[in-house]
Amino acid sequence: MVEKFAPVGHGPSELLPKVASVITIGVTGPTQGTWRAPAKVMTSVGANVGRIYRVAVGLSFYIESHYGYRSIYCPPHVDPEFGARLPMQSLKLHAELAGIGARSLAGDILLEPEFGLLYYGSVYTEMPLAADEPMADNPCPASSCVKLYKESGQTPCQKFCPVQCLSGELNDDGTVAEMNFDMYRCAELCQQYENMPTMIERAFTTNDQLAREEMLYGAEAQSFFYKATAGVDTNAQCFECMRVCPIATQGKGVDPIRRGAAAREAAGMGGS
Amino acid sequence: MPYGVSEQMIDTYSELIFDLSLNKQTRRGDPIRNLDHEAWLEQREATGLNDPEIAGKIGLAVEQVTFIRNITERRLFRLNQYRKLYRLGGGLRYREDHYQDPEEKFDMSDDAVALRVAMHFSPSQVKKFINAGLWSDEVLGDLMAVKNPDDLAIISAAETVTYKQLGQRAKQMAAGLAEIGVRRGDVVAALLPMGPELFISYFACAQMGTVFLPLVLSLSCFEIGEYVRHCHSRIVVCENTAGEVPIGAVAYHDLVAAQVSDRPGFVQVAADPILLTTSMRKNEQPDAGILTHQNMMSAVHTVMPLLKLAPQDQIDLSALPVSSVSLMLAQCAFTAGVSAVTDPASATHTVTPTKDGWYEISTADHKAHFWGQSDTLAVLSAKQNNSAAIALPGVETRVVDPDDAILGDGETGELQIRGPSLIAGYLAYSTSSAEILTADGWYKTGTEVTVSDQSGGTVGYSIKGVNQ
Repeated sequence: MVEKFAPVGHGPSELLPKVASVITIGVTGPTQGTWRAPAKVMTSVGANVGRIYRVAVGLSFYIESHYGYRSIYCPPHVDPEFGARLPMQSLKLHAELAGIGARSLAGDILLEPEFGLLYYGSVYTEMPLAADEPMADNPCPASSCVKLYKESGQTPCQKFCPVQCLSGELNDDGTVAEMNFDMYRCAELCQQYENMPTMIERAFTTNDQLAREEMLYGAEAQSFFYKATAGVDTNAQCFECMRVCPIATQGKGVDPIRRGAAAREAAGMGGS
Repeated sequence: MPYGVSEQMIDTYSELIFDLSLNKQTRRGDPIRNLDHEAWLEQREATGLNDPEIAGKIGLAVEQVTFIRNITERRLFRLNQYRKLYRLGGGLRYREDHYQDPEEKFDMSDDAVALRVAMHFSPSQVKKFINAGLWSDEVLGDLMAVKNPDDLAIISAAETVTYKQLGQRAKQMAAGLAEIGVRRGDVVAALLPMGPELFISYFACAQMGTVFLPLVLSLSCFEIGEYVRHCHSRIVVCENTAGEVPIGAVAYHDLVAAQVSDRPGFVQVAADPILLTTSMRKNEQPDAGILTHQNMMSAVHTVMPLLKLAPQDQIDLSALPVSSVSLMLAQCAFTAGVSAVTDPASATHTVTPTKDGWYEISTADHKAHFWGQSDTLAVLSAKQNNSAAIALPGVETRVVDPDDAILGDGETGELQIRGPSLIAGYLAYSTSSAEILTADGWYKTGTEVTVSDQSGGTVGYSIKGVNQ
């Protein structure tokens, strides 16, 4: 099924010719405190991708050592032949087909009704496994979002996107009729792939020495070079669409405080 | 020519490739979740194609598509968009009309840049002023925030203006100036009499980061033209009481009729230039000294104790010509929350120029004197006309002979000044900076004084013709 829906040249067999199964894993997103932090902080600590990569790598080793099937951790990054905006494989497609996420109005970010915003990783294996089904229902848009859409013509994610990269329409029954995502606007705000070469080009072309120094040594250049060399929060999401998403922030499994309270109560320790 | 792609090919294909790529994605319904492969194929193009798919559709090589797409993305890319994020979150929501790009805040014309280039303070002096608290981040606009809005700020024969009205009209005028293209750092000349219009114009200019050039009404047309040209003044604001505005000028009342926009306000920076002083040199060349918010505010705080203002007081400025000194005194009134008055009838305080740079402050029960020039503001004070003048706080003084040798007790020479209220230099293309300001920041006042009364660590001066 993954091969059927994957774009040409981007199916699992491109990586592992005898692949039999795709295992997709999700880990939860930010803490409740992080959701309330300023965007500057969110871009730094909101993402949880490091954890999912470790889990996926571990799983591929585990399958090989315990079950004897070749496995590979699916590269989560861009396809080096095409630059920075085309992924090598679609982790989103895997998760959607496996039923641990459905496409949302927020630029097709996947949402899970209980765990909200998840970070996904995939393992390809020659081990045959039974396939899961996609979700029967899409949790997006939530009923409160449908209500706002009917009142104002926009869902919260559309309304609060800082660069207005989201738009679309709902059907009368509240399901998605059309989702539009201007990825280039989002990339300009969050991913900044073109930052470094743009700064260097500007520095070459300006005749103003102070402007040149600002381009190369100013706050923007320094923070970008820091991120690139230290490998931290590069190309982070801005999170503003997710911050106002009730599914991403308020699901039963999303909130570590509620989850912890339930667990403590179950263990007889009191819920608070 | 990478991959055989010419600039013409980029022109031809960039929009087509961009629109087909993942840069623009549209999904109708939920075809993948519903495993509806046919519906997915139907809208495959709208969901965004990868480069091999685009190449197959339009008949270019994959490498050519990738190159054209990446170049198109790069040309559309705007730097600094991420800054929008930094004011968001934690309950803040994004509003485009509330966002101001940091670069936009400091967007300046070439003339404004030239004015800044002409400004220069000695690093050691600046450090001293800041460490001593003589310079701070205080700006003219701060005055509005602390006053009772219904108190009277300005009283003239024609009208009274409350602090609330002063603030509102200044905002409106700033909006009016912005509407006609005046930007941060531009010079705005004003040919207005001492009164509400002058003070409001000054506030408006301070608010939007422009530099105010007050011109006295007694100047000849030639002189006005010379100053306006020399200062590269963006516009001249004048009255239109006779119903006509001179060519090239803008009427004050037209400017204050502007609608204030919802856009973020202008950012006032204490180190920014706020005011130009004017003088005609011996060769009849106009000159303009540059004063900053910090210069003006330090003078205000120095002169305030001499004024001894109390609530409801009114300072009469009607005897003063329009200048940096009179605007500084008006600022004193606004800082204290009292009224600047151009109708002496009800004034509690009167400030009058006496001789050779001296100003006398008179109230019913006290008199005080300060000395200063347009370029220095208030730098010396004296209790009485015939007593020795002493330097005001933060001001350094010395007396030199024609060879620049420093003179001592009983000797007579030129008074030189260094201090927090001294101009930052003269406009570009002027030779005055070198002639009037020494390399280490001393201002040559051109005033002859005799050193006297050095007792108690304080140097006193007798200024010829006044207190001698």
